[in-house]
Amino acid sequence: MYFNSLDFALFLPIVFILYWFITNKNLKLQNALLVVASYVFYGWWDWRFLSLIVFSSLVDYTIGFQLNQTAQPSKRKLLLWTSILVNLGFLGFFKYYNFFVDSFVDAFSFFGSPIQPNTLDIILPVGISFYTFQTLSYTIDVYKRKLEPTRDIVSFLAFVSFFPQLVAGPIERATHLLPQFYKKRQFHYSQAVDGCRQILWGFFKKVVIADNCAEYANQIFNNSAEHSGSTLLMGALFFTFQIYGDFSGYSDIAIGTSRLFGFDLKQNFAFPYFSRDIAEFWRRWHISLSTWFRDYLYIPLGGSQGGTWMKVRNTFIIFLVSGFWHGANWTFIIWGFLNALYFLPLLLAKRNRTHLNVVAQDSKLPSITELVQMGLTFGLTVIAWVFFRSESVTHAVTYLKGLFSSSLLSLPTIRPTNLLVLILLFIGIEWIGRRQHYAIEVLLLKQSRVIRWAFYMIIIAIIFVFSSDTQQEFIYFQF
Amino acid sequence: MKLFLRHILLFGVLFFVVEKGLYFFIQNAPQKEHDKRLELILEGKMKKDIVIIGSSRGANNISAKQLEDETGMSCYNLSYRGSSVVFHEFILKTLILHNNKPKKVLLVIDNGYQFLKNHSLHFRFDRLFPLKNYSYINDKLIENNKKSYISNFLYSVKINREDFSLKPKRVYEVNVMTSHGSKLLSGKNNEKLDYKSEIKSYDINDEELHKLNSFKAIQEMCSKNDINLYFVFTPGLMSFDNDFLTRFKELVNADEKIIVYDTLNKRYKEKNIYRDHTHMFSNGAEIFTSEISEFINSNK
Repeated sequence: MYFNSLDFALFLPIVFILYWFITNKNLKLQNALLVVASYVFYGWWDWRFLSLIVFSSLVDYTIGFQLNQTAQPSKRKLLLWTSILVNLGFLGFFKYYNFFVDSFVDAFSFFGSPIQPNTLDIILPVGISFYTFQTLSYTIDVYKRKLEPTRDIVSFLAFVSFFPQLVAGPIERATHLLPQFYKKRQFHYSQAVDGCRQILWGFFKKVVIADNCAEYANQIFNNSAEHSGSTLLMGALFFTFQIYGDFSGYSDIAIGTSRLFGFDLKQNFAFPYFSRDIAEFWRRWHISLSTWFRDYLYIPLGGSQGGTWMKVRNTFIIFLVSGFWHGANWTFIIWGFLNALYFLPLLLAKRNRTHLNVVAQDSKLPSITELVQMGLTFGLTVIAWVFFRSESVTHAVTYLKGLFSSSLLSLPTIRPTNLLVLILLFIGIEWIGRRQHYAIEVLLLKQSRVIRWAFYMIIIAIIFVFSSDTQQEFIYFQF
Repeated sequence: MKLFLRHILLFGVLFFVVEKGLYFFIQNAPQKEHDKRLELILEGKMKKDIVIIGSSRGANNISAKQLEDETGMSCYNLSYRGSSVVFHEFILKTLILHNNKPKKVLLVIDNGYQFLKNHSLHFRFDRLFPLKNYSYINDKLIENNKKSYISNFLYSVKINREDFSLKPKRVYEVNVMTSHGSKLLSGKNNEKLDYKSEIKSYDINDEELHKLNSFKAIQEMCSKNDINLYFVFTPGLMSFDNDFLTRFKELVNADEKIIVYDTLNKRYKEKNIYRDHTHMFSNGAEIFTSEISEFINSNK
């Protein structure tokens, strides 16, 4: 089920009413309702893949339980690796099987020994990369004795499948989300209203910014050979805003929806396009994934404890794995590699933790230096996104060659004025709200209700009016 | 909780009332259109003996006014540039539903492309969007996922971005319409235009089922409503695609007639009557329309 569908518009109030009016007296029943609702939400897309979530949940529940029963290190390690192999096995099969087969075929062909490929027609289960990481974090934390394993299977099933964040995150840690299922939730007016506001802003980002940028980004990327450098630049910029609006919009809707049910999810995006360097960008973009890799891969690999070589190696591993996590295509790996390259000078100069605060923390506008830093970081990000969006590495290279040609200085042939005005408006609102969790968190809160409500009504009307003719999928569903 | 629900409800009601102001833009949308043919159909004002349905080949290559003068029967051209046979079915169905039945329908065939996947022939939803205030049209948009079901209740869902502009829409030269719905072309031909003798062989496996179904539906509609159906193959500065004609004849019923331009007429090989390989200037349309008139008069 998509958030931007009529199905969800009916589903959400029904679950909300059942949750707060029918099952509110019994915590177990309330959690059971969330499990059922989450399975319906997921099964709406393809019920057959529900078995994967259920199986994965049961494996980790059992292993977590077993880990608590034994103190023997070798047995504990075996249990941990069983969980890792089962979870990554599913992920590897559904997401990477064909990629590996194709890559082997290409490699053998390159060395003059062509072999017959044996690829399978595999559908990628929606959200598998997200819930696999979420459930893995549980087992690893139990293994590291950071978390007591749960005996409450309903809470555990609800934690793995919690519908607002099931298919595209934020990837929650068991230490943060699971305990929230043990406690009785209270309805708070301010929390629910805040949730609604965040949902509203999420829809604005998705429907108005992302979907409309997608229309032009697709048009330009799909026929990139026919366009001038300046139009290709527009295409890259449209995709840059598309992916941000799409993914952070989803996260906002997910976090806002959770708040309606009394849950608190972690912030997943913190205005990444206002970053002053790439290190800051990665502290602000897809935070739940970056921190997951930091805690479960970078630190176990030695993190930044070793010498320079180890730091560089670990940084490259993290970025390459992050690229590969996004999809079975060399374009994603190159995208990760490029980001590692961007990061490298900061790491070597020990300047990767320079910008920990919010840009222009105490002023309304950035300084010239900050503006240049943000522009440079944004530009590097846009170039990397070209690899992310392209069909193949060759396509990306050709695209960039076309972009950096003499026609870069010509007038773009595609320049939708309405959309450009909207993007500028969007950047303005995001800038004003950059100190908050989401842009309109406190916007106009000091104004009268009439003004606030008028603003929300205008946002809703814009969402409806600018919604594309056809419903667009969320990009991160494919990951 | 009660306060929250009360506020949500109040907000919803207020939004529902306030957004009704958008009706002004929705009802104004049809007036900005140059092409009002679909609106005339919906209003039941298309009472004609002969209607021409097709893509740009029908719009550019047949003069409805001339046909009316030469046959003595009232005539109107309902051909839309870039439209597919699925759209033609919709036009005919809408016409029959809202107007007196025509006596004759001339369905212009896109020789070689009629049933194939072809990116230049579409269902012209853009012609429907300005008329979404008609529930018949809005239902069609909903049926095709071009509008949400909620558009039945909320104008903000029904409205389109272009509706906010109050200026009449810009009309390109190729879209300027005559009083009888035809879009006759004038201007200079392209000097580089050459006779195309190579025709791609027709592959029945490339046909799209939904297009064949629409074609069948047009035949059934005409048969059920006692309408004479004529299939028209317009001239082109190219060899005639006989493969396609052979295939086409398999789909045609005995009582339906096929009008193929006179392939031996040398004038159809002169490039000065063509704008491009398949679209003629008004002088070419005049010659071809006379051929159709003659055929209709001899089959009255």
